[in-house]
Amino acid sequence: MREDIPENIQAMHVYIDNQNFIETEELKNKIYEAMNQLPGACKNIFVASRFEGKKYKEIADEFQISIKTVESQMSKALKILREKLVDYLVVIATLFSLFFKF
Amino acid sequence: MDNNNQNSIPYDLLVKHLSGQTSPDENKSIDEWLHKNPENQKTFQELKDTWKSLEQVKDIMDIDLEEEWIRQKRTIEFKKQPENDKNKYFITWKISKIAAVFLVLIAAVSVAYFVFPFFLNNKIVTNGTVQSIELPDGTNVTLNANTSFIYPKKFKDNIRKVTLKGEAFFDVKPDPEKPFIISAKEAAVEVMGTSFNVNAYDRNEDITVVVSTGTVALYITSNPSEKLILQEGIMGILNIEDQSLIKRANTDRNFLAWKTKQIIFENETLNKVVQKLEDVYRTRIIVNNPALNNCRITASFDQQSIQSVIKVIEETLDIEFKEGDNTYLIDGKGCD
Repeated sequence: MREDIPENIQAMHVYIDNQNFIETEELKNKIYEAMNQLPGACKNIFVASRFEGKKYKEIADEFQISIKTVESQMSKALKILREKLVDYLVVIATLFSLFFKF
Repeated sequence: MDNNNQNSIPYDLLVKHLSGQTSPDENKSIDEWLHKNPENQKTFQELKDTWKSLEQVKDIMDIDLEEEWIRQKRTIEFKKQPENDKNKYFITWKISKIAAVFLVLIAAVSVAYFVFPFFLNNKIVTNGTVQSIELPDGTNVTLNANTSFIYPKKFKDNIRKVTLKGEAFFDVKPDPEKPFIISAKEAAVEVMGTSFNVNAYDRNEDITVVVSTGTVALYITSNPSEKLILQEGIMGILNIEDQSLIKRANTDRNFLAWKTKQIIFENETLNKVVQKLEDVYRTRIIVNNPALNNCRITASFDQQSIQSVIKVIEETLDIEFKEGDNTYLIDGKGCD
């Protein structure tokens, strides 16, 4: 049988067709801006974990800080990012999941 | 209403979990916290979505990191220079400057390379409906349901190239100077000006091309020298698994029914009929009694609704359809 896409995504779908994916670039920019607004050390720690996939222990050694500090900096970063992106999250999830389907 | 549940959010733990570093014990306590309150689940979902959405900027952040690294390295090299050795200092500084310029150039080119196609191409994805579009060269394309189609906003000077996943009917505007090429998964279909149907759904093992008018060349993208030439009424089939190309006369007179909604059944068995109706009307039909599959039908339909098609079949075969949620159930006595 064909895979069926749930109905609630269909409205979104039309939206993508018309907007020609420029929307996705704008959203990328939003996320990127939010990342760059993180305080310096907080950002570096977060980048090491999220994008370089380093363990908390490795980050603690590298930055000469305690694991507890890594934990609190990590949650501080994600808390800030969530506040900045919360309005777009639904759109982001739908857009990118559809976009990468093909 | 005593509620001494302070409901504080264990952010540290949740984020640790998202980065995949919690112990089984910690996972258990997160699970308990999640089940305390639906609000907690919402908070966690938002954090998770945020975490996941960052995947979208990974590439850009990587470029940033690289630049940062070069910058830091440069600073370190500055520091290494003895203070009196001004000449050496100057050269290092100059080299770093050139390197930085190159780096910016490379970054700009690679960003342009990846980002521009998004702005220069149109991508159309159809769900449950058939959609017709006209391309910049005047070619008409009808896309079947669940199909994705990419074409440039402006065609190149010497070639017209598009990409298809799914099924589409092409009525190509003749232009001998600019061949029209469709890449559909492993297949490439090349034409000058003609009309034909391409079926290249992911779920199918074959990619099929049926020509309505004119001549079409079908070949495997990696081997363009071996072309299968297809004329009117001929079907070309590329089997993806064994990478074979064959052609034969098109026996399915209803191959375009998804587009035209014109269906002709001539002494056709019920299971073939059901298959075709499922495809054309995008519905599901379940045959309850297997003996029904031997029943044969002769009928033709022209742009009729599924309900009226079913009515005709019901009366011809004296069977019963039950309607469900986009599903039909057939029951009745079978045929010999």
